[in-house]
Amino acid sequence: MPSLVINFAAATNVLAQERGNCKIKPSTIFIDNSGCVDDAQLTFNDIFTPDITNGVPLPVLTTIPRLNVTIPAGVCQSLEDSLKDMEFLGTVSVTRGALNAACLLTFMYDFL
Amino acid sequence: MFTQKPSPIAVVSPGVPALLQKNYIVKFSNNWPSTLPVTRQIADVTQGKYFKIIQTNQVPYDLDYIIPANDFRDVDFSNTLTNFNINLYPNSGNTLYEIQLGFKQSNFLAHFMIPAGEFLSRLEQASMIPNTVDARLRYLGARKWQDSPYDNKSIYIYTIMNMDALIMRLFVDSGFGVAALATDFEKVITGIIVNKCKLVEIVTPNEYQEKVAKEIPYYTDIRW
Repeated sequence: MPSLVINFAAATNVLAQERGNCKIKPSTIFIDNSGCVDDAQLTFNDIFTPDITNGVPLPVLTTIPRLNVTIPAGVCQSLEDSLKDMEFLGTVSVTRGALNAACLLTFMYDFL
Repeated sequence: MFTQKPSPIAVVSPGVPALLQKNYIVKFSNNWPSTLPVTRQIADVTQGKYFKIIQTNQVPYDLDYIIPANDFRDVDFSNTLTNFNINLYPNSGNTLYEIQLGFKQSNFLAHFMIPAGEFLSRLEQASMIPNTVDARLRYLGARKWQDSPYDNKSIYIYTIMNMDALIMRLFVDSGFGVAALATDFEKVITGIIVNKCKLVEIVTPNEYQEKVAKEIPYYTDIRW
């Protein structure tokens, strides 16, 4: 099971790239906001281009937010239960309301 | 040429291979057209011919499609170049493809047509034809991932060169979305194993060969 640690020095962070023959299933997300004086408002996005279908002959890059969560300043929090039924079809990325390199996120995931 | 194997009611030991093997014998049913290359090249008459498999090769292939809710995508198994074809027909007249098809868990319905527009799973009453636009008929004849799971595939498709195009319609049902975005998507992942079978005709099959041969029906056999 792969995992990745990132900070929020950049606006957008890719956590896992899309794979053609599977979905991405996050198992645990651990957010360490203990060294920060601001709340971490995080949005996890699912980014993909759909296939040509009967109704959409010219599909475009699509972003769907799968999870919004706020971690209070000075707090560490692990998300597990809320990920139980969550799947990402494409690339997984995360944004933080305000950039902060002291805020760390660990993303653990598997392929379905 | 299309079959979904039923769940077993008994266990056979030792097990029987799921795919055609070397030295197995196949017979194309009497309804296969005499114009198709598999029989024309090997014999001048198509129907009811027996063939011995002299070599096999199993080729796995995964395909995925991201489809919005209440919409569908057609997947054409033939080699005819379109936006939707996946080239799973042989290019030579003495090859049979036995295609084992399964699905990973996801929210979709699969319908099969051959040729395009002619559903395999229609019933005899005139209106009983699968239709993804209709709230009831979309479920008529629809296969779900549970019917042929990725790790225990039970759908088998047999293709030969120049056969009519087999179309799989993958439909993501409605009721699958979020209010703010109006729609969500589903990723349909198909697992395929192409069992390439090289054939040699048995011109005069003996009684045993006739008895053990696996008959491959034409689509008109299973859609009367």
